[in-house]
Amino acid sequence: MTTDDTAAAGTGEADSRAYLAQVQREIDDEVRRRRAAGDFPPSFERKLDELFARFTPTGTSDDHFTDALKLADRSAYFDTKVPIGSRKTAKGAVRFALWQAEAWFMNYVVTQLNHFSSSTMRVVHLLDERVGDLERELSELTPAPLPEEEVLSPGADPAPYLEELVERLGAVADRGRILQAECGAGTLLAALGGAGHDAYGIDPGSSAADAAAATGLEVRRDDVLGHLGSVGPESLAGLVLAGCVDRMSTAERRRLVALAELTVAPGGLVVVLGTEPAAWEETVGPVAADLAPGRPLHPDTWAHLLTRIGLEVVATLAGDPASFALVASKRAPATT
Amino acid sequence: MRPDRIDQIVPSFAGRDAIGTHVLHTRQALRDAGYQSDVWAIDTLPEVRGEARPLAELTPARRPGTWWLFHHSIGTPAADIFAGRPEPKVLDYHNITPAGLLDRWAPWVRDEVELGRRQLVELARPCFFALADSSYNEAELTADGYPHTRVVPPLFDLAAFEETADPEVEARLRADRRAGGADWLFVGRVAPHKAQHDLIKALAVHRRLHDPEARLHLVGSGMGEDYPRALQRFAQRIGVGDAVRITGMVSAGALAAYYRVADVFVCASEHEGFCVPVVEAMHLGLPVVAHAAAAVPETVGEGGLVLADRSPLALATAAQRVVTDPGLRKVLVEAGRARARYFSLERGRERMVAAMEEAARVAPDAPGTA
Repeated sequence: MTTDDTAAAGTGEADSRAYLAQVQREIDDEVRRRRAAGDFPPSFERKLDELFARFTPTGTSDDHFTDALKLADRSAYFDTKVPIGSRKTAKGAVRFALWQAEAWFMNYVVTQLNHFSSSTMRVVHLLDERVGDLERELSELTPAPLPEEEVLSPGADPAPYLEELVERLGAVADRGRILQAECGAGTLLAALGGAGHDAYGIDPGSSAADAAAATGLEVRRDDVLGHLGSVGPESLAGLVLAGCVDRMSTAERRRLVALAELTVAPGGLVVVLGTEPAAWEETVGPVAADLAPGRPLHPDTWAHLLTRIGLEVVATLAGDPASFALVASKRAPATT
Repeated sequence: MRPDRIDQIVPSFAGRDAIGTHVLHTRQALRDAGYQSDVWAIDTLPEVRGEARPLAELTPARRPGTWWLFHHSIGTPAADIFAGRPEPKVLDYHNITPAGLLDRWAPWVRDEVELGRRQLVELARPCFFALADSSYNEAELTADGYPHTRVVPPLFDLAAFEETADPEVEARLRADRRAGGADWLFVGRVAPHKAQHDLIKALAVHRRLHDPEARLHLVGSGMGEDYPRALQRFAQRIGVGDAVRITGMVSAGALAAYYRVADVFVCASEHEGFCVPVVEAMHLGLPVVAHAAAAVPETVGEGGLVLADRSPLALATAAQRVVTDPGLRKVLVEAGRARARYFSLERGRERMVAAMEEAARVAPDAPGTA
């Protein structure tokens, strides 16, 4: 290849690279456009995910535990009768002689193995019965939520705190990405993006989040605890907790703050955007409030939970009597 | 210090798989470079019997002037035999699938891959040098404390991909095409980490949006029975059961027919240490559309479309564009062939020999070489 050929090839490669990059942008645009047009809402893709999950071995379409038990039962028996047949007479005779010579020993060992495995399987069946009883009792203790309980709280509206949250989160944005969980309609995400900060949201699948994704915001379908469990340690500049904080159980809230402390970078911020309990009770009424499995906490309680794991509460923002935004900072390690 | 002999250890030696092919080409490259070289294996499949010596016959006596090159991809007792050898040791890392991607479907593999991960960490100390199929694999070696590493992509002969297409299979595939619809192809083990279920989702989206007659061919042997069966049931449930063809393992001629007839090679793998079929597709002029995961972006390079968005909609949109835009198709075919040439056998052999020369330069510092 001559120098000119090389140069021509190089130009060709550069053109091809630029062209393929352009095509990729066009594909991204088309995907966004189709989502925005409602051709293909994220909820459809979610349905595909959920459908496939039903066919996994631990899915919900079949009772795989019963199948697994049956399989274990079949495998729990060790056969002492070694196959000694052969088409060749001499080979069969040799195998028979070997089997006879070893049979007393094999029988002794295998009989004990069979006793052990049948006892083990008996224990597993007993456990299965006990777990089944527990599941039945639990299902009676936890009645299906009333329709009004399922719409208890859409989460606090971030609008009254937008300006201050964007400013505070922006000040630490050089430490990593900003995550809002749950992001709902994406109001805060849009404001952070508009200010040039790298932010994304997760949401377990509200229609508001579908609409937010359709506008081009980075919204992933995920549950908060599951997602935070997969985020790298100290990789987030900021973590905004909203929506879910109002309805979690005590154990879930403990896990949430532990994960928040783990995933936020030193110097980063954890923001709890919550609903004031009094305002919430007034909205949902006494029946739903009393029957709700999880209820909003006071800002003081959140401050206590966050302080206990080592975060420092730096501000409680006021902007709406029905909600609050609590800002806590993860201390950077002291330098010597 | 340059050794006289570099012998390879591979736990299970098969002639047609990616590691088996790599081992045979590596042996030839080393012999051509003046080294003596043999292959040792615990299990050897019939098609390559005679090409490898049984590891059970290896005596513990020190073999002066010898290095060992161990191919690691899963937990195996061969790793312990390798670790126990007194001669200098080099590891060739082909990656280990994360257990979390497999254990729901193939729990029996979990122990093997977890053992493999532990052995990978343990081998960092006795190995003075390590090779990796890709930078993705190399990063894992570095994280595990391997002192000297180098990327050497797997060795394979691009010409071997140019098999004559099986006329019967080709005729059948072309007959299907007469009814209309594009043909998507993926080649690789039918296993959860290759995420063929995501390809089925993308096909469903594609048929609904663009091409109601499109088909997806999944060529490769299955890992267990649960996952392939779940794919079939899932495809039926979402109404694309007739359009998803899971072929199982096919002959080289049949595979050539699939490559020849397909319109686009699609890859949604969640984990790949390299992904040879992508190179095969690029070499044979089949445009590649792949999700960006693990080593796939590195292997595809600029020879195909790599999508950061893992959604079925993105894959369907990209595949439709490739199938219907002749200009794009032409660019992708040329770019793919250029990228495949980077992995030519000749260059692969040079890389392997150069890596061994580099290893020889750092060998005096290595444990066991004094």
